[in-house]
Amino acid sequence: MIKLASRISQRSVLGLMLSLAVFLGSNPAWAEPSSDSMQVSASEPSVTELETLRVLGGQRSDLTQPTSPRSLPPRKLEELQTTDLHKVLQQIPGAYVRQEEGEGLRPNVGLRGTNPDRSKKVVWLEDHILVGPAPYSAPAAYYTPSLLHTESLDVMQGFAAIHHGPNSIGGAIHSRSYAIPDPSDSRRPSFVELGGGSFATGRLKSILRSGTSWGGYALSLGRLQSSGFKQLDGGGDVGFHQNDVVAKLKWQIRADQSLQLKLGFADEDSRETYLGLSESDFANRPYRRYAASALDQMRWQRRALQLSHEWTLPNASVLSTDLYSHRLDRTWYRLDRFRDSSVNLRSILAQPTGTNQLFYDVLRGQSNSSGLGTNGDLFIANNERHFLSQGVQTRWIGESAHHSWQGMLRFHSDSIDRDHRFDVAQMTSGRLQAVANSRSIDKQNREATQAWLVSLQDDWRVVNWVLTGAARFETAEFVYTDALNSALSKTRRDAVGVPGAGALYKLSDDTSLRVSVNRAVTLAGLDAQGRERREESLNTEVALKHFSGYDSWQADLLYFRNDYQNLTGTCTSSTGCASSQLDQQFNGGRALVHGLEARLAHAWSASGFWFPATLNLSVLEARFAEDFVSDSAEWGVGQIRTGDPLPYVPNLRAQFNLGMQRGAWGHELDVSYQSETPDQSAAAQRVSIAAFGLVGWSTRYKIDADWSVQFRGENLLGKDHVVAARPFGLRPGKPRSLQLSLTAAF
Amino acid sequence: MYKTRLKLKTMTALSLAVLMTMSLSACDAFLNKPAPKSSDQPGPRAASEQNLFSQEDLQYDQAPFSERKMLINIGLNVLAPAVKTFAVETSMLSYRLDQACGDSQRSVDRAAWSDAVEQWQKTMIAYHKVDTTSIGPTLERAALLYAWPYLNKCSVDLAVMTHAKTPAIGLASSTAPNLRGLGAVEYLLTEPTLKSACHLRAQPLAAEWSNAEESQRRLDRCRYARVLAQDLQNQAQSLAQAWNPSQQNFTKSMVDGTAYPDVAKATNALTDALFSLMNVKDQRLGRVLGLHKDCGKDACPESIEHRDSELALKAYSQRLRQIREVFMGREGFGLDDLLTTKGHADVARRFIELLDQAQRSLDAETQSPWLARVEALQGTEAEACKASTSTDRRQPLCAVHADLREAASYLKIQVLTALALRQPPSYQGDND
Repeated sequence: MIKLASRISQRSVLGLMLSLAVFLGSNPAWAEPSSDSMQVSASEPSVTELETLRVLGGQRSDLTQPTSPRSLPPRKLEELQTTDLHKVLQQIPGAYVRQEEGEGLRPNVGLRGTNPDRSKKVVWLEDHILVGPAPYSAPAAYYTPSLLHTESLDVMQGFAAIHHGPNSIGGAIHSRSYAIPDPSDSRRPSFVELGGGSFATGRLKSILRSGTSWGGYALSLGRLQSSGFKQLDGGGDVGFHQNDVVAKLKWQIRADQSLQLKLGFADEDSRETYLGLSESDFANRPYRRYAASALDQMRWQRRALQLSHEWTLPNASVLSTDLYSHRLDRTWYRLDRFRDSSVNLRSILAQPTGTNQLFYDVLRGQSNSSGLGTNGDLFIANNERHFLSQGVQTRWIGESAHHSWQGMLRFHSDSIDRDHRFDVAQMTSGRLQAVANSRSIDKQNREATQAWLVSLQDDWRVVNWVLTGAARFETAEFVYTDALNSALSKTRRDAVGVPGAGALYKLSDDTSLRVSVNRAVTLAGLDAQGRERREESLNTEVALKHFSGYDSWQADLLYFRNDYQNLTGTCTSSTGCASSQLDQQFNGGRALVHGLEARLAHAWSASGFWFPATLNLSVLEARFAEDFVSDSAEWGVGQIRTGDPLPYVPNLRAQFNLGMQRGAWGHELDVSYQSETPDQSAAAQRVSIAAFGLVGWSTRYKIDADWSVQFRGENLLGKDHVVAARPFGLRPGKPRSLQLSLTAAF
Repeated sequence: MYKTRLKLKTMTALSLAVLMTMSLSACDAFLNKPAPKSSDQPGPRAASEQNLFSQEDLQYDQAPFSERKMLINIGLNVLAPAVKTFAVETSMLSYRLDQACGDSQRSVDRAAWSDAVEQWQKTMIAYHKVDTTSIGPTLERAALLYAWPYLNKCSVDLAVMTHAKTPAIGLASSTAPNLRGLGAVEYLLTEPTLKSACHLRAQPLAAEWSNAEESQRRLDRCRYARVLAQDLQNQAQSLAQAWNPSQQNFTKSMVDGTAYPDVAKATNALTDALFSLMNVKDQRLGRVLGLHKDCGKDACPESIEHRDSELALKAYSQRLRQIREVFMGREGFGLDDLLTTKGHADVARRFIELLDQAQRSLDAETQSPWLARVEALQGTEAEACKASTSTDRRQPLCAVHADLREAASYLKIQVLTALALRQPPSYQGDND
């Protein structure tokens, strides 16, 4: 036993050293992996066989859980072999994503008809803690937890998200970072994965963890880097790198109490831009990048501290208390506009003729800025933002013979400090150069919020029925301070109650039917124009679940209807809003989102092969239900009429996975399809993003008990597809890419 | 056995579902084919073969009112005549320049030169009226006719020099808008120093040209202006044909579903065009007077339009007149009648009052030296300018801007709301 412990310890140290060496190295993805490792497996059939893939990720207990999330368990996440959240969330019906730069660096996630822009209408949690940079003061999420340290993912939609504020009308997403294993768990918990592939992509994912009688630890080290798949006119860097570290240390104080410290650090340096392409340029060279984006660069750094106490009470209920503090500092240096405000980049690229062509040629580096006088000067925004999010929360979860309950109390405080400046740059002979000493101040302000949240839920089990009552109460004080114009400074308070009720009937041991209705409200924050109104909806859903076994039929069918009394929008640069409108709120009035979400899965064996198959379908309609004139770029400027679609919500999204597994070999084919998507609601100048389908294939071979090798191909048919037409021009999705990785478990 | 068959059936059903999903888009969704398409892109298509109007259509000043009659009246009696006048003026400009520096002349005829400059002013004023309601074929050609304020003077100079060396080379159709049109002609005719705008060290050709005699440089500029004027004449003729009722008759295209899906969309295109009022307020006056964010200083005299000819305020006055004519429809039905029909006669009246107020105050300033007055806007003068309103007219020029702002805001909010029409996307916010 001591010998084994010593061996594990040596392996851990070796793995840690290897990870650190690679992490700190300049090109870690290509370094040699450890020779002493082992494949992680939940229930290994044999040391050289792959674990049977659970096709759906659901479990029988979900049948009677009125607010159970849709989950992507660790094995499924592992199988996907991706660091792109967009690809992961395609596995969840009702979730849809708008790609931005094609790499998934800044996810835009929407749930049930909410605008996916910057995932601002989704509550994002990690290990039960809010992780958005400033979820109340500035909900646009420039940070989401990296898949390099994410072990599993839960998506809570509609009624299931009732506990979570502030923006949960569509739902909430909960990431779980790699946990400290239970000492009694016999699985091999640590591994190092090194991968590399197309576009000089390199990936290190290293999880070192151990559970002991005194507690345990988990250390996650990750790095992702790529030279990028776009080609900058005139040459130049378009790549990125991300580092990600999460460390956990647990102290088992007593049998019923533990204390855990979690530290996190992450950073990114990416040469990313908002500038896309004109239609004709996209048709000719979809992966081109104009010379005017040569200076663009996003940099951010995040530090996190979290202290958690868990106490199992005598009645077996669990009381968890978390203290957390997260800081995110980001600067995006990027092309914003021309000096001449009568032209804008979006319309130049939408119609590069006439006088627009003069500016278009400057963007492409084919004309000099000086040819247009000062009108041809390019303004490069240097948008610096500092976010702080901290708080304390207590959760209580318990169960008795007929009841199970959960409750939460949270005090949260967050803030955003904006320091927006811009440089003037000029295009000369195809090169973009900033004009020395041209920096000017654009915006300097601060938004801060202090919020209380309390939520309760009780499930009452009576024979085959489960009756659920749930409610959330939230109150917040928003403070806005403008350093440049004190007249704009203001304070506002708001409070909302969000009740809901549901009934679940167990039709058989394998099937249940559920209905629920809840009010869904988002607190009205601050708006410089005084247009604050709550976003409010009445949500109803009917769900049918079937579970006949992990390896058999599983089905999850759900119809939902979100009837908005007021749909709100918030201006962000990513939707094309001008600097003067940033963070302003817009009210869209009534809107209706309804649709069908389906997740069907089945698995069977034939001739010694195991075939798991899953189909995820989202069919929905999301439209405004009243006429109004919009001056928000998010919905499009102009007349919006009843029936106009909500932006970036596809009517149909489908994902089909078919696996084949035998012994040490496993393969998976995935086919995804997204229907035509409008880029804005207003009919005038609306661009439809064409429907696209992508085919991917992955395979995994378990060499021996320690080693496995994986290969993944994405967009195998090489489909050139548009993923967004915002904020400026058409932006391509990732082209065909191949990736090989090697995993050593220990 | 039965179970296996059942499972196979199940999977077949699943697969069929997926295939059906895919078939919705056939294979296009998975394979490469040019992608996005724009919807609702207004733009004229080929004119209908039958261009003539019915008798009823031509009763555009007789009840009952219809939007169709209104559009026909505005097209035939306001827009088409303005285009025709412009075409005539461009022909005259070409003629005057031929007289000033014809092929056989060894130097510029000074008297003919002055006539040409005067003719350019008339042509320019005519174009301002056309540009005020820029829709359909007018909008299509706008950049080639006058790409203000994006003139590339150095490149125009280089074209002058190239043309002087090889006169046989005319104007390429691909010549950028900021190297041609009325703006380039203006520069060649009114720039007083006859010096090249290029950096002489960076452009050896410009350095060589600068050493030439003044008379030669004037001749070179005049001859290239002839080339540009000929191109202008061609463009203007083509535009006139597009509006001519006996030729392509765009007025008919406006109402017969050829250019716009319905008359409401055509009316909206017309109101979009009227937002040129905003352009006068923001880009033409506001920016110069330091009342627009693009200036960023007390005032921006360098942004003055027609700086050397002092033509700007007269041109803006004509623009306002043209907006009034479109709105009132001259003798026939106009947008005011549409408002009255919708029960908003008061809105029409008020808009005309505001427009007339702006017209009066602008006309009162047209004789004043525009450049000198803008250059004087510094310190306390600039403060007085920023504080000026329609009622507190501390700085009369800036009060003109305030009058225009009131009229423009009224158009944007009350008029469009009363007509239940949308505003053009480019004027989403007030940039004051």
